[in-house]
Amino acid sequence: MDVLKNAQRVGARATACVAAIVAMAFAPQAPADTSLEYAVKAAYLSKFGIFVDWPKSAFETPQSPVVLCVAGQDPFDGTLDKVVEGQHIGEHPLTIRRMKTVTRNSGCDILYAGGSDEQPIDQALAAVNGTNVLTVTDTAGRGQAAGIVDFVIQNNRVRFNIDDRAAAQNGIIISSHLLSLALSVRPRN
Amino acid sequence: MHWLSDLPIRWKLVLVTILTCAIAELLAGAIITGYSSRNYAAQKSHEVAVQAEVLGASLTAPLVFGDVAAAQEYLNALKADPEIEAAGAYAANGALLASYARAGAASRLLPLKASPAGQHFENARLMESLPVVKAGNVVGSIYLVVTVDPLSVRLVRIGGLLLLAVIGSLLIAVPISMRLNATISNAIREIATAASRVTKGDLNVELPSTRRTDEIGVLVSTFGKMLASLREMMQQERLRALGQMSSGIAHDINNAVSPVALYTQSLLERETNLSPQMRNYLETVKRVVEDVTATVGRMREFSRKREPEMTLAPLNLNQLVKQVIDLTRARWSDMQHREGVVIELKTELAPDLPVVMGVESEIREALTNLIFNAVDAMPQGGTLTLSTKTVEIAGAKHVFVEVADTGIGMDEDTRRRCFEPFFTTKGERGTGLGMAMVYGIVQRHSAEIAIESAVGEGTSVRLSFLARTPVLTEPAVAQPSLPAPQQLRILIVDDDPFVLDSMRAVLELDGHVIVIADSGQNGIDTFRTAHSNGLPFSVVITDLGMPYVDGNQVARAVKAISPSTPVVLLTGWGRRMNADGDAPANVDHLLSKPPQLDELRGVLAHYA
Repeated sequence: MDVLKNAQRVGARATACVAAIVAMAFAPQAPADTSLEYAVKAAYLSKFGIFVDWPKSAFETPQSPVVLCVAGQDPFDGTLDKVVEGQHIGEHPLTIRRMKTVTRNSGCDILYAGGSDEQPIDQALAAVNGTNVLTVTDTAGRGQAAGIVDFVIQNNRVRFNIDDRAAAQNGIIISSHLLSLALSVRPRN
Repeated sequence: MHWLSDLPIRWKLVLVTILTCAIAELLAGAIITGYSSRNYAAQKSHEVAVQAEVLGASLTAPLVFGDVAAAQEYLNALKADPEIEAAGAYAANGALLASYARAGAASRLLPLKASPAGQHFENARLMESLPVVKAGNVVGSIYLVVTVDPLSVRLVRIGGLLLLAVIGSLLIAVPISMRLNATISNAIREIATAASRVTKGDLNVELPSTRRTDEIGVLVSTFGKMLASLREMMQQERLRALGQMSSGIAHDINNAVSPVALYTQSLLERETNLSPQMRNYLETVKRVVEDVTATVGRMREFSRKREPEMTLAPLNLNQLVKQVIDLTRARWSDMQHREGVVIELKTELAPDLPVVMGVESEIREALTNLIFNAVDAMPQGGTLTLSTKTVEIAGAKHVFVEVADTGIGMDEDTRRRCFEPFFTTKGERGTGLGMAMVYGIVQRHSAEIAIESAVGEGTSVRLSFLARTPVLTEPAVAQPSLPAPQQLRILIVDDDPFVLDSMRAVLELDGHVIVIADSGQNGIDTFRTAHSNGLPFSVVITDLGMPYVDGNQVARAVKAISPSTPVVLLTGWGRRMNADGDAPANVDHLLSKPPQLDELRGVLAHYA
């Protein structure tokens, strides 16, 4: 299990880390190791921005950061910070902002709604509904309210569904590259 | 390269065309090959870069999310392009994410780890490694292995195309060049055919007339001119041969007619009581002898242009025609009547005909010949027409004399050859000299001859002389042929006894004392004896052509004994020597045979 050892030796460099995790993801018999699962999800989360077009008005300058908000529970245990460190989406640096609750004015561009007692996932989603935010949830198909991107596990692999209609409501465009990888896509009208 | 020089020109030219075509196309092929192989690499490299770019773009998301299935799907789509041997998608950390290899492709074409970006050729393959970048992030890389046709394969392909092009162009060029070549080689073949006929002796080859002005045209017309001058030369050569041959005959005839001439002249002079008829007969004999002499003289001189001493006199052709009709009457009237064949004679003589300059005996001879030919052409009878007229051509007056018959006519070949010496249509009866003689006479008079003839309809021969304003010359006052008042002691040397006798007879009548010698040696002996005996000769007349000791030797001997004694050389060789003015040394006078009494007397009077 070279790959596993590899995964355990996650390097400082984000790219190397992501690649290792990605490699992990298609290991044939991925064990139900939640830390590995969340490492993969963190890597995904850091990459979704690449395939998203925000309206120009969403940023003050081309160099303004893309803010990745983690609202409520943070399941990533620091791996997210590692993969995001030094990442850029185009010229925009990618930064992480954590908060208990999210509002319209939290300045989020990507929102991972982890949910909390103060603000359950559906409320968090409702809070940014209609703003240019790519919402990401991890409902694992449990029937809860899902964001635009919703992680699921299939055949021991991390996959996701995309609600393109919701993306349209939020005024953002998701690249077809990303759509093509989704398990299911709820199309725009 | 013998075979090359033996190849017909037509095929040589075709060969040239083929080689030119082939060389031009090989050259073009070489240039195209060089150019395309230069471009091939660049083009291929560009193509592969574009393919990698496209592939990279589509693999972006699978690379980012490590979606092997999606990546594999994209890579498998590459099998549509048989040139792509292998392709690999590498994750951002350099690990191989997915790979594709064409069926039958060599294994291990793909590196296990992502390689630095770039392109390189290796073993007829082009490798491209291209990083995949999305939104400023390097998300992985693509590795493409594309088959590149090796130079040999491309050469074979271009060679095949070239071969097709060569064959195609030859299929067009060869028939065209054959067609063009025909215009060259056919003409040359015609000339060659004509030349081989000429080699076999047929000079009457007709070349195809051509208006071409190229080298072939020049060749054809030059060949035509060469033929014409060859014909001319042959004619001259025959005339020369005839001249040489007839020279000997002339000598004998001149000797033979010498007594006739001398006796006739003497009779006409001395026999005052001859009846007019007899006198007329003698006159005719005299005239005939003159004509014979003239004919014989001309016979030797076919090949010569106008004789320098030939004195032209103003002639009335109408009179001459009448004379000739009288002379030839026996031929066209009496003889024909006897065979029950009637030849009708018509004369159309133009009045006030201008005079022409000519030699009477020659023109008489020519007309006689023409009349004989006309009569011979009418074995069944017909009409013989003699006509004269004046015609103005290009501002100059010409006198035409025409002899026309209604006989069998001549075909084209006969018409062309009739002037050739020894050419005759009369078999054994003809000498083949008549028309040649006429031709010579016409030439000497700077006159022209034209023949019109149609088989079965008849022939007309027209002589055209330039008309002259007669120069009024003092009519030569007939010298009363008086016998020399003084007696001379004359030695006559000749090997012909008849000449000796007649000379002696005639000169003795003039009152001279004649001693004869019948050979050169006898003449010299007689002269020496007489000289030493104190009875020297006043004049020596010697024949030129004698066996053993000839006239020149006699003259030299005489001058050696007595330098002051005049020597008169009589020659049967005609007027030639006089003409050339080369009277031999030791000879004071040169006279031709048959001797003219007046001439002889004049010379003798000089030494009296």
